[in-house]
Amino acid sequence: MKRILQLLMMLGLLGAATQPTAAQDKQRARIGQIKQENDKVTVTVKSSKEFYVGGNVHILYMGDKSYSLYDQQNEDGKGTLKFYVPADEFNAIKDGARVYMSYGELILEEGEKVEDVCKENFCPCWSLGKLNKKQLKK
Amino acid sequence: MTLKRYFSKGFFSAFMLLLAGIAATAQTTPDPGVPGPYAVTKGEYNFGDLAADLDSLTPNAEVRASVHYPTTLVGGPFPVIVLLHGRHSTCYRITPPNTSSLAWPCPTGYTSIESFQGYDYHARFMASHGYIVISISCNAINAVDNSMSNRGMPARGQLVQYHLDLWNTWNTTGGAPASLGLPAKFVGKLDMQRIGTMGHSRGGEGVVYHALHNRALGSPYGVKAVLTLAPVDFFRRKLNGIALMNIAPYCDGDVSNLQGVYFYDDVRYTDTTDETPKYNVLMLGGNHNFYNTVWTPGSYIAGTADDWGASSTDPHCGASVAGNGRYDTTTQKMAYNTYASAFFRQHVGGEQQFAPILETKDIVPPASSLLDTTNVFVSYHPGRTERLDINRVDTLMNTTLNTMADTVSTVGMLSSGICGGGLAIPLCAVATQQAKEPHRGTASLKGLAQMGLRWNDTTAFYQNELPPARQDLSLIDALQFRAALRFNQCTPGVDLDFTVQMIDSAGNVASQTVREHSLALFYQPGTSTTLLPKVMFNTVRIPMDSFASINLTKVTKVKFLFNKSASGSILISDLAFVNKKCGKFGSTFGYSYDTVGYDVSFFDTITNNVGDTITKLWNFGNPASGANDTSTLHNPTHIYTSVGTYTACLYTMAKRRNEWVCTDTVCTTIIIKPALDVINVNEYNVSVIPNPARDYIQVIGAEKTDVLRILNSMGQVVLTTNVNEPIISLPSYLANGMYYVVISSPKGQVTTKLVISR
Repeated sequence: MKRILQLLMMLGLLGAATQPTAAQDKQRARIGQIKQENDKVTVTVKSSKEFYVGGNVHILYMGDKSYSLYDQQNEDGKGTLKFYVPADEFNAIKDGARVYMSYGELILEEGEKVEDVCKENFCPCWSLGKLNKKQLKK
Repeated sequence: MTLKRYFSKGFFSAFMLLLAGIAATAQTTPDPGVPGPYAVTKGEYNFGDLAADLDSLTPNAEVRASVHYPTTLVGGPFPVIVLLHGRHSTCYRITPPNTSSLAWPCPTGYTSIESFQGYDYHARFMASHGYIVISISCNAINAVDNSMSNRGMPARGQLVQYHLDLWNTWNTTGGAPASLGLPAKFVGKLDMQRIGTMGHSRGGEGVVYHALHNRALGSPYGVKAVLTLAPVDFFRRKLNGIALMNIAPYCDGDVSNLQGVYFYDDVRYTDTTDETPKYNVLMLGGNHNFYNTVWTPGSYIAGTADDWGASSTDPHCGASVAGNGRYDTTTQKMAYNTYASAFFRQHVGGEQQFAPILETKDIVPPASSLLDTTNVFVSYHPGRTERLDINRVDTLMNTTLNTMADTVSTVGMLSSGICGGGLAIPLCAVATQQAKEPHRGTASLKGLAQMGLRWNDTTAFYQNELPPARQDLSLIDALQFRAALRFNQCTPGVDLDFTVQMIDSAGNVASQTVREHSLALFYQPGTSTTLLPKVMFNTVRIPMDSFASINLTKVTKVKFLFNKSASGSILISDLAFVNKKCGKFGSTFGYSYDTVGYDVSFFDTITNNVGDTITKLWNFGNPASGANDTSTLHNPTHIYTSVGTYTACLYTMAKRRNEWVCTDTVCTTIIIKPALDVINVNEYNVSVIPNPARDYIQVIGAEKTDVLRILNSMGQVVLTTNVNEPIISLPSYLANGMYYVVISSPKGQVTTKLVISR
């Protein structure tokens, strides 16, 4: 058994973490829940795979704002990121605004929009669809 | 086709250098990656997952670390290295499939991931050279730092200081934990004023925070060197006054914009009193994770990854692509180990023999790094007084007026101008993705100002004129600048070269091509849509000796002539003269076995300029002798601790009246013979009479076949003869003074002092 375990380790098959770069298999992600507590809105992003844990940060883009304070949980091979957004800022974001998430900061040129940079297959960046404020639970 | 593609391995690298005209095809500098003489012991202490109450962290952090140290702890105090790992999963489930978690403390059924053990290979190596190496666990911070606006950086700094406080206690009053041995085991064994720190990934910014935190506390500990390894630099804190090395792995798939280069770029000119050097090492085949064995697939049970992506199809960084440029896991660790060793042993340990590697004088990588000249590049920014800036290229004005306040001109360029710097300077726009242009900074904090030069005419040039007060370059060691190919304006896969010219007041021209001295103008490899190629600056250093055909006391212009390709585009910065050699300055020394046993007497001679303030430091290459391994005396005697072969060095520094600092290093091999010879020497009972002597000496007890040498006080041999006559005449050229007589026979060797008084 020990030899089999060692072999699997050699092959990198055990416990391999999700990889952060463009080269990785596309990781699906979606907004799971939006919840308000007092003056803070928590936007939960979920994935069927673990989100990478490394030196860089995940950043959530909604409208023309970006947010990078979050808690990260990886459990049983699934990933959850809970982003914290001030309620007043969340309220100011237009319903239906495009939502994106990146691993590492996207540097935008003047006049450039997130959607210009974060396109399909443009990892490490995820398009999370449109903001649906009906999801907001208080 | 790039140099890289043709010549990706060591043999071909050397061959390429020959073709390029670079003289040095083998590493001539001592190899810093060779293990040291000490046997090493590893220990660990663990005070619990929540043992450290840090001001800037809730909840508490664990206090757990490993320590590698010379087994016997004889000698000392030993310099200290502290290692701090980066952000990584904190726990993994004990049962398969061993999924990882970011909780802390670990939930039931999970156990901790020991990221701090991932640098054991480096810790063991440094301990073999006489260092005490402490590697700290910081999982608690990693578990919560993304919910903190400061990303846990102050907490990382405080955690390092917490461990140093513990060690300071164990070093002074004792009380080391039982897991490390007796409570007093480390008393007096750590030199808390010679400390180096290394932080990986978020740990990189963490050790910068620590150095600043320690300074804010009044510098209770002497942090001499800070190494940031594939670091983040979220907050752009500036660390001056401490030697700094940043290592940037080109295939970093995590911190893929290589933002750690800001640690170098941001501090070049911010402190006008800063005498400490900055280094940036670009490792062209490195990724983010393989520096840590616990993060490396195949080396640990959970949470590992090739951060670049094991299935990547990038021709350079894709590890599964045939002919890629990636380092394998062994090479990556050896590469780090070698360059980190050079850095720490120079700036913490006081060894100087690796300076040519760090200062780009010797660009051939040490053999132990397993690298070749095409896949590692160094940038070097000397301290203030070792540098004479020609053109820093850090303001828009520097397009027409250089840092020496003289004229800058361009002729025939397709375009030229300064870009990428402070907020008032436009971006260089090499690429829309910042990861492809790491030096340019962020939207709110711009990065490195650079001079862009693009040509499509082989007569085009860029020129800096020198004011009369700066035209005497006879004491200058080299011309250097940082440069990179601007790939978006160049033909893919084609490397560049140009001619650097010095012109004297009579119009004489001396020329050197960049490629004769450096391969820095390579077309950056890789084709990844968002990440590659990347612009990263590397130092080009051209010795002034190369321009010796002109009058170096009257150089009026430094000219870059773009005559080596029909078109091209480059970015440059930090054009400067460096003066490590300092003209009339140099030291030599001799030595003599002064008495029977392990005593060796050293004699130095230093040539310098009138008015120089000279300081000197001997390093006898015998760390086991502890504090006695160094001396600042004129003619010191050192007692070696055992038989063996040692490298003794004399480091000399002259502070000149113009405040430039000149340094010189000279080393030699000392062989202390085995005890058998020593016994024979005891039996070899000879003496020299009379003493003092005037015209002759007599050697009593020697055989006729024995050899007699007389050395002057500088260790120079002034007479050699066989002892085949009862009377040996002293030549008249031997002036009054003290000499050493060395008599050698098959039985051994004896040295005695002789005074000549006529």
